[in-house]
Amino acid sequence: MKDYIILKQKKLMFQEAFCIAVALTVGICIEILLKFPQGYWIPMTISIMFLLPSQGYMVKKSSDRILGTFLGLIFGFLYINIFMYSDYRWGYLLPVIWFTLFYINGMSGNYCITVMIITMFVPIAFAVLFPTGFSVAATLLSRLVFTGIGVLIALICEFTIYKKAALSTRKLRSGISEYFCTASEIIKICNIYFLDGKIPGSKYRMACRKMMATISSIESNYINFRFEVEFNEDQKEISSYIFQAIEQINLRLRKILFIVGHSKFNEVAYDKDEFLNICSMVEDKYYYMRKYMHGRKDGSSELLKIFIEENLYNEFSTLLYAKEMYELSKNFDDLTDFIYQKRYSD
Amino acid sequence: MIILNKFYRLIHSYDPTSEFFINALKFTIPGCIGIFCLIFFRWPSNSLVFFSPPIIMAGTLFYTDYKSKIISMVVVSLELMIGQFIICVFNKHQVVLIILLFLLFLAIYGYRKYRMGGGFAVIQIAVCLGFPPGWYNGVEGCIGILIGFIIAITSLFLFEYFTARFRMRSSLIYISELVNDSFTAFTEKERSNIHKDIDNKYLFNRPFMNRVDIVVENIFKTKIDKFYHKVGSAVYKADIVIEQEQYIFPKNTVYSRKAIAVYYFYRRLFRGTSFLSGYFDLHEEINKYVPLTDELIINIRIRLKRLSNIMKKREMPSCDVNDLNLIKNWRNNITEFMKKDCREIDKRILEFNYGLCFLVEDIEKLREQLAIRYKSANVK
Repeated sequence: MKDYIILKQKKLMFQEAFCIAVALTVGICIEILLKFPQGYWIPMTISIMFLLPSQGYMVKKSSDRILGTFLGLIFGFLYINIFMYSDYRWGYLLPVIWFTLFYINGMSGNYCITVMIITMFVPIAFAVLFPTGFSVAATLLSRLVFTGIGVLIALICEFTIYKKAALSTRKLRSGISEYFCTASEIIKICNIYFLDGKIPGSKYRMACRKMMATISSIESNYINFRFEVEFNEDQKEISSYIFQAIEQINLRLRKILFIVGHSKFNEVAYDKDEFLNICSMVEDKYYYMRKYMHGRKDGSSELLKIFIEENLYNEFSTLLYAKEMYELSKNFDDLTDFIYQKRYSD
Repeated sequence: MIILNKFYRLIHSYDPTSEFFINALKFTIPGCIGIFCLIFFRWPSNSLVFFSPPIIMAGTLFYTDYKSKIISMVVVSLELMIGQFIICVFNKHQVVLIILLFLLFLAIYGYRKYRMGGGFAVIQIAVCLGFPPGWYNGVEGCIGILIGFIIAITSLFLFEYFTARFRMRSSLIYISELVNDSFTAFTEKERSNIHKDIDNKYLFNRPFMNRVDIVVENIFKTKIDKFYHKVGSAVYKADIVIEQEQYIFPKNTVYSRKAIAVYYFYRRLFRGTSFLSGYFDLHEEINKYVPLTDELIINIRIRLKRLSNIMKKREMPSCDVNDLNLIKNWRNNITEFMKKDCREIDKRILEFNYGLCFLVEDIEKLREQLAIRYKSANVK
């Protein structure tokens, strides 16, 4: 499953790369053919637009890009023409200004500020290097126009060349698959360590970190995906159901990890092989999530329920572990049932 | 003073581990060194000496090991060199220029591992279209980027030497605050009081603008769940700084090994708090089964806060325990509780007691770890 996802991602990445390369080349062609004095602004705009190549993100951020360019140009040229021309020592303050902007940008994650910094940086650097021949109004206007052209080229290419390669919907889907694969990895590691009584190593920390990163990526792709052509109400409903499941699964995994860190399986009270077999079923089910979305079923939830009811021993940690496994299995079953019904009811 | 304090608290809440402060320095200082070199050594005007170091540095932000960081710097420098050289040399042969640039962009964006750094390099390559053409300028640009690369790599090592320990320490302090906050969030009986009692109020109350690393407004529904996820993100971010990042300088490596031990217990405490979610609904029943639980909760809250302050002040943990008898009596109560048939008790009560039992144990272990850590620092 993982290899398939990686292979598919590679293909999509190449298609994205092709789309960006075409957009940049078109920008450069316009710059070369029309010989504008500040024509490099067009490919520069395109490259900034494609810093995070996602269709929804680009649509959402187009206005930020134009606003950021406008503010960057205004501030940049005001700085050059008001302060630096009256006294060149104002130039010494530039690193402080950039530092402050980078700091605000990092803390807020605001795209408009990112664009503003880059836009401010270029004209100021050019003014320092080539101090003659700058007309504020004309340059300001031409750069704004070039920014508009750059944004337009980027959007046209994004919506015409391999338009499905950069869709957040796909990234959202692959993010969700990755989330379930990582969850399966964590369950597997926990099963091994809980049943053998070893302390979990660095492997599971990597998996946990990956899981947190996947959740953030799912969130940002979901935000972008609402601005894309393929978005509809059904997908919104399915997404919100998946998010509820993720919320539950996350909580259960955290609890399982805590149990593994403090206790081990009670071999005297329970049948180890039987328990391992049922837990492995849960682990497999998470790993091969897509098959279950298409109607495949297994009896792990029922088996776990019987296992919990039949084992009448007063053993806290193993009972809690088994119950959490049961909840994990049940959450998964509810989710796949819902998606299957939603998909085939139409 | 009040305004200054408020401003400090606002900055601290958005950048608690000073990660963004250091990143902003990483972007600014190499460029300044480039300008200084240009002025001091009186080199001919070559803007790439100060343009390129921040761009080369930008590529390193996405990796934790030094091998990948250095490879990324080399890749971005090469992309920059090739791009600007092609633009300068093939300026008169426009078709060749366009074809070569197309292939270069395809390679940059198609190279999955170093794509993010490459994206920044493309911005610089586009700016190079406005530079004067010719072989001489092309070679001069390459020299400028090479100097920029040397400046960037020197800055990388300097930053590691001077900031690594500070980053590890501030990450640990931040986690200690967050663990305390998440414990408060789960054990506060008055939900409306949570935001008053916790240290990181902004993290609890605000959606954090556009920060994709911590915003989870759609996935999680309740404020506590969102907060808990943000705390989780911070814990695993600290994992990168303390455990994953491979430091070169022995001083930093030794510090990292010592910090791991404390971090390890805080992570356990963080996970343990997820067992306490039933307390809000069931605290009366919990107290019926295990008396003194309410008192113990208040005791732990004070203790976690004191342990966090101990880390901030680098003190010996000698005064963090409030009431030893309380813990002893509670332990007796929980032993009695464990003798009961657990199938007849609500699962959430079982969970809560299981979690709290090990939380008390982990806090004690953390205290011992801090004692080892600050023993040498306080013996003079």
